[in-house]
Amino acid sequence: MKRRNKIMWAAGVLLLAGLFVADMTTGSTGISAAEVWKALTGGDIPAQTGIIVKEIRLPAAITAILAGIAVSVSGLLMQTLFRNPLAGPYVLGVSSGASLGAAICVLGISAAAPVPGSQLLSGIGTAGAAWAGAAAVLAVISAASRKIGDITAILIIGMMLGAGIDATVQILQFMSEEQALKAYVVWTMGSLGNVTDNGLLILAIAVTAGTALAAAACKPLNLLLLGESYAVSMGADIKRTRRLVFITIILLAGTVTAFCGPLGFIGLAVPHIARLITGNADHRVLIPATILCGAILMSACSIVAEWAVIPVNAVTSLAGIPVIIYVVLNSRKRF
Amino acid sequence: MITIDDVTIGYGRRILMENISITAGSHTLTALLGRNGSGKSTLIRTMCGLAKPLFGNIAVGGRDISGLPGEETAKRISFVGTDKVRIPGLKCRDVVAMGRAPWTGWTGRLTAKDEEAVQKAMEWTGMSSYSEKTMDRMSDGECQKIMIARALAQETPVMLLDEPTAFLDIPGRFQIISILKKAAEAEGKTVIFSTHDLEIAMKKADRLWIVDPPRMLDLKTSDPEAAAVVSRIFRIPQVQA
Repeated sequence: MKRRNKIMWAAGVLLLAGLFVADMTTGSTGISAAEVWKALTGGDIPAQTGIIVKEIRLPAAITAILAGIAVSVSGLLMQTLFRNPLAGPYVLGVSSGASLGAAICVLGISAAAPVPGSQLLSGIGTAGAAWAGAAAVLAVISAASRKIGDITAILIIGMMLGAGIDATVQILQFMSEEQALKAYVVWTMGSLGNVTDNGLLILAIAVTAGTALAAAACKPLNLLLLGESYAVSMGADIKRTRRLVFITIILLAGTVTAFCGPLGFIGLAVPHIARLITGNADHRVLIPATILCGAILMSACSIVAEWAVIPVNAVTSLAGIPVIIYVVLNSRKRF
Repeated sequence: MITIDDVTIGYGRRILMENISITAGSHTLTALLGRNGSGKSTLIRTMCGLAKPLFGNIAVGGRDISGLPGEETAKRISFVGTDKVRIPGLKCRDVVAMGRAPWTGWTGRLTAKDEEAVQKAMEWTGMSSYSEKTMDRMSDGECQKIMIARALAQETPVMLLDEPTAFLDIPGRFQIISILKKAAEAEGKTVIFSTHDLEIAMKKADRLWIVDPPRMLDLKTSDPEAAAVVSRIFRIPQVQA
């Protein structure tokens, strides 16, 4: 690895560590970095501060990192698979699909009769419903992209699908009970702080498994940069790769959407930031770079959202949109 | 050597070529000629294993490719298509190194032997000085040479190219075909390329495969009949070799 690259990686990891601590100090109760450290290492601090740090701030900060990784890696995979620089779980409606699954779970089933069994089961139930929704949208987009091949048309289909699903969700909202509706509306604003311990466990497993699967697919993903025909001619098993990448996207984007709500535009923007910083298109570099950039950006968004007391979904959109406009302006000839 | 044995290709009910049996030997540069829509691209894709023939078999070195896993086919046949590759940040050297994919492990890590093959392919195509350049900042001709270098790095006995000289100016076309000719002569490869450029085909190729739907004619370029056949099928005055 070149010296410059080593410095960049080290700087990225340090920045993430700094943001992780900052994320835990930000919130309605003022807690200093020293207090956070004491709380985590079992130092002498008021019990209430310890509870806030360990049971609220720490899970939220970890969730931010996991969510950032998940949406960013799934965005990268979608951009490569669809050969579309504007692909991402939010833009192509995969997050909406997951939302519909989660909405049916939250508004429909839970409102009518709370899911029996433990909290873990209910978490898996929401995640499962989101996975199913994400899978359904991904299947439609994939079938359309194989038939059409025109990236603008695919984007439009993705957006229309997303809009249609959102409309369906609105109908569901209209028909649901007040309490469930409130829970759902809060969920749509995106939240990194409402993930339960069990939710965090499911999220951590899904993100670990998803990134491992993405890493396993890095060779065929690189070949896919040249297009499907070239990839096949160099020995890539396209059907297997497609299956693997789909499962990965569903695991990553679906799980995060289920637990944190739709987190707009980060998934689309972060792979581009990673490409700009590394100047590389090789997935063996891009996947780790996307993981690091995604974790950094989402932690930063989480801090801003906490600090300004606004929904994190609004912050991710405001952070992601300028990057996307930059990409569009710089890659006009590819459209 | 690649053998097409009693192959029929087409889409659904539309037959493009019927019961074609033809062989291209090693050390041979073959130009595949035919009118638009005559099935040249489909034949090349079928020979690569990218499409299935409606009937018949394709074999490389006596081994039927339809039963081979993708990676094994990729060790025998390399392909250059018409898709333009313009990915930002994709370095030329990385593209050429992708040609080693069938020979590397799951991470695609290159061994010293792979590095050597990549280096050699870049030198062959005269692109060594481009290794750090990215594909979005190069001319069509330069990109095409990189795609050919990638196919050379794949070290296959058979190379198939679909209109490799489309979009190029005349010197560019001659350069590309000269590289292919050298690969056939010096490396003993079986190189087949489709083209609409009759002049270049007559001057540079060893053999001509001419699609005369639904059949295929196989002629030596040096055959005095070749020019007459070309002029009859393309309805143009005779092109001199």
